[in-house]
Amino acid sequence: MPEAPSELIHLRDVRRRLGVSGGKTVEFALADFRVEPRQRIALTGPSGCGKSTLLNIVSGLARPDSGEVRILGTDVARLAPGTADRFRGRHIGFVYQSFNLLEPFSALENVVLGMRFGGTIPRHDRAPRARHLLEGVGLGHRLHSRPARLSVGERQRVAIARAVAGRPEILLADEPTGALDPATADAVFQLLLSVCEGEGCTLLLVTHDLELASRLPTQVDCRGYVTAGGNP
Amino acid sequence: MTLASIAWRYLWSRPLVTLLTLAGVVLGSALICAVLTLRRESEKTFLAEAGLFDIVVGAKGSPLQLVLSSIYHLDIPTGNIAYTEYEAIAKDRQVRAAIPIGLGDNYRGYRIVGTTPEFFKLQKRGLGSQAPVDLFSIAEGTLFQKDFEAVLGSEVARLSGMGIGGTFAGAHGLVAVAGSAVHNEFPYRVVGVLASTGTSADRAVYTTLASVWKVHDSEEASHAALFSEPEMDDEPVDENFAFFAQAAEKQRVREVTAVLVQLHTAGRRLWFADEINTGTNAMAAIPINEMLRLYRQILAPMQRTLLAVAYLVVVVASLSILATLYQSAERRRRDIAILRALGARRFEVFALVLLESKLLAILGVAGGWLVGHGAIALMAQELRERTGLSIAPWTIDQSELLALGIVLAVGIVAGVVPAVLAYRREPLRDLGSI
Repeated sequence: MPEAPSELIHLRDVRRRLGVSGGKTVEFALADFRVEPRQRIALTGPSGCGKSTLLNIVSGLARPDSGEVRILGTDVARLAPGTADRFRGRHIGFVYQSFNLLEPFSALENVVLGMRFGGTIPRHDRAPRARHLLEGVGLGHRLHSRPARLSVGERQRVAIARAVAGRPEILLADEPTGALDPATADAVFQLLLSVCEGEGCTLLLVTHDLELASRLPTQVDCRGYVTAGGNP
Repeated sequence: MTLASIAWRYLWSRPLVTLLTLAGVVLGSALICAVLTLRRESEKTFLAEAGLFDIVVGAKGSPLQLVLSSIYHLDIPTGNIAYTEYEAIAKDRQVRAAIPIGLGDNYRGYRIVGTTPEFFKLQKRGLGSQAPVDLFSIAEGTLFQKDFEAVLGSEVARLSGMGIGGTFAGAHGLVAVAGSAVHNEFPYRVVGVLASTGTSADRAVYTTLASVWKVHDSEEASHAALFSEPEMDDEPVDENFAFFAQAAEKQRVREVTAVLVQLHTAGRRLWFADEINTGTNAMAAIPINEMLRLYRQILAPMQRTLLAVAYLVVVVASLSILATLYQSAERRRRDIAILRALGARRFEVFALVLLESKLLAILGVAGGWLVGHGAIALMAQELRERTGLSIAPWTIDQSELLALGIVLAVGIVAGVVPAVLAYRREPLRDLGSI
């Protein structure tokens, strides 16, 4: 019987061609990257260094040209597209800088939609869980408000509730406080950590803010992941 | 939350665009429903009524005109034939029933038809082994017994408000024209009202043939006297008397406008018509043939043109669905990418966009059916009053189901292109980061 992997995330010899710049091929390359369950990691580095590409590859939204991307022991790079979509829905939650809420739907419905495709929460439990989560992030009074009627801080709180609604093991956050004023950013960051703790998620957080990054137990500098070299 | 409910919410997230797109499908479907229903119902009514009589005999002229004037009360008659022609037809052994009619006057635009009581005993031939069915029944009062007693068709009674015992005078001519002579000296008295038949009989007033003759005799004698008045000063008195005697003699050659004929065997129509056309001065027309010819030569091409226009509207509406959903899918790239990030599979976003076109098409077709048939229902009364067409507005047949099925299919297919675009789109491109 094979031994259960100790790492939640394990990338090995991953390469992905990103394009051509100045006549040279730009490539993302990562020899080895491991994340243990319930780790809180800040991914830092300048723009274009490969932080977001790393998150995209972990989420399965971007496929590597070569290498292994093992999430919970499954090489998601080799899953059929439909299976990879479902895997993402079950095991990975997202928080975006620009919130990415669905405008035609209320806060409650946005959170319910976060559980719609993963299939980890039974249908009849989705609305109560969404309500519970929104109350947990202080939005019990805005359940039926559309995103356009919420403040930016409230929108990000809805996005956090949606990200953890399907009980994912991994939470990916790309500059979650980038669009917020400092006070709101701080509150949202605290909320993110607290929700992540409460739901038992592993967190990979991309940020330019080194002070914010320092508040997480682990920081990974992504400089050098993306290189330009070789002829296209 | 089902895919259908998500699709529904997306549709109504842009209500104006959705409503305008929907309006196109509704309009096209409504046109198709209206044209098909009108065609079906008018064919049914017109041809059914034409089928009541095997032959119509009248003065030589246009057979179609003869049929329209004598059965449908829609056109002017081709002229008159001698009463003796009617008598000869009635005696023919092939004839089951021969009903003479005399026209000339109207009451508020409804034709006053002089006929015999046998008219009301007419029966519709039963299908197969079915027994013949009576065409007419009296709803109120009795049939006419004497001259200048009148029986009203149901529509005439309803629209004129005239009841049993009411009196009226006929006006000269077959249509109501302001200023036409009214025969006040020959008032009719209403003695009966027919039950509704859904045929042109509902729009006619029936009386004895002799009543029509009497009004007509008086009219012709007056005309003759008026336009051929001899110069009294120069002519001897006895010649004046001779003139009136001659006019009176002329009137004694009795005429009828047409004879409606039912044969014992419908299969003898052609032979019987041929006998009349070659052996007499009258003309025989086969109503069902004339009406079919009218349909095939005039009405059918018009209906085909209308249907083509309706289908064109549907095609334009479908293109509008395509444009709306394409534009919507383009605007919603980010939303579709978010759904993919949340775990939606390619097939699910494909189905989502296709569901939107399906909902639009279903709503459009259902709305079109309601609007089309509703419009027919609103027009039904007026059509009945003007043409005698009795239309059942809320019926549907296979051809209409098929046409609506085509509209539905075209509407749904219009969603395929945007659905495929959504299917093929890589979410990464539209999420910005992550």
